[in-house]
This record gives sequence, C-alpha cells and structure tokens, in this order.
Amino acid sequence: MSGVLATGVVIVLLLTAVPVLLVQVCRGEPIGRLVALETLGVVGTVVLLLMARAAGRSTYDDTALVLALLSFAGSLVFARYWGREL
Amino acid sequence: MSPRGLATDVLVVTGAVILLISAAGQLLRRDVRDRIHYASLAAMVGAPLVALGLALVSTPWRSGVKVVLIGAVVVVSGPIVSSVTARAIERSAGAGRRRQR
Repeated sequence: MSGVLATGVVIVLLLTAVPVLLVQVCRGEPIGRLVALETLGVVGTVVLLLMARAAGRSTYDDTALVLALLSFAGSLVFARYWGREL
Repeated sequence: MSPRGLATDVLVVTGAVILLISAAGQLLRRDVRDRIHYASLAAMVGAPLVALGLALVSTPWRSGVKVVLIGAVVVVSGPIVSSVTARAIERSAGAGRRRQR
C-alpha cells in the first residue's frame, strides 16, 4: 500500500474476519472447523505480510512464510486424521 | 499517486475484500462442502492479489520476490488442502454409511 495508514486500515478490515472464523473453529462438526482453520491460516498469512509492510521491515515477511508453510502442513495432518476410516 | 501505487492499492483492497467475503460466506453456509469453496476462494484469489499488490511496491526487488513466493506457496497449498479435506469428508461419510448398515 502507498501509506502506512492505508495499510493499517486494510489490516483492521482483515482482522474483523478473524473472530468470524474463530467462531466457526469453535462450533460445528470437526471437518467444518478444519475448513475454517485453513481459511484462518490464509488470512493470518496476509495480515502478517501487511504488518511487515506497515513496519517497513521486509525481513518480517519470513513470519508470513513460516505461517503459510505450517498452516499447510497442519491442515494436511488434520485432514488425514479426520479422513481415516475408523 | 503513481500508477504502481494505484495498482497496489486496487490489488490489496480487492484481495482483502475477497478474504472478507470468504470468511462471511463460511459463516452463512451450513454445508461443509460449500464452505470448502469459500476457503479455496481465499487461498486462490484473495491472498495472491494482496501478495502481488505488495510485491509491486517492494524495495529492494528481492523482498518483492519473497512476497510473490509467499503468495505462490498459498496458491499451491490451497487446492491441495481443499482436495484432501474434501476426500476426508467423503471418507468419513462413507465410514458412517458402512456403520449404519
């Protein structure tokens, strides 16, 4: 974004999605919770990217990369756990 | 405002709105299969738009490449996770049907 203030506005806008997704994570059937958790990982990655930009430190982008990779691995593990035939 | 800055603003705001639509859609939809589509929307459209927008104004150019790489990780992992989750739903539904018989 062209300005820190505009970036902050977008971050706040995106952070409104977090409680909505957390509600989904806390209720419903397990596989539905997993889907919300996956989306939460994507939103978190984007928020971390924007925060790194707002802080003006490109090295903070690494946190977004780590979250993206861990969210991917975690989602795969949970999906495999719930998909197993009991 | 420079054309590059304008493009960044448009891409980032569009991506953020798509992410919000994805979250709201998951709240409104009850069926898990419908919600997977909204999760895919966030990973396939929202996140790469924001990453592309941020990469346009990144200096030095190496940090822009890193941001694009992060967007690529999200784009590649999104469909994989969605398909694995959908398969898990079908498997658990199949196991439930077999238990009922």
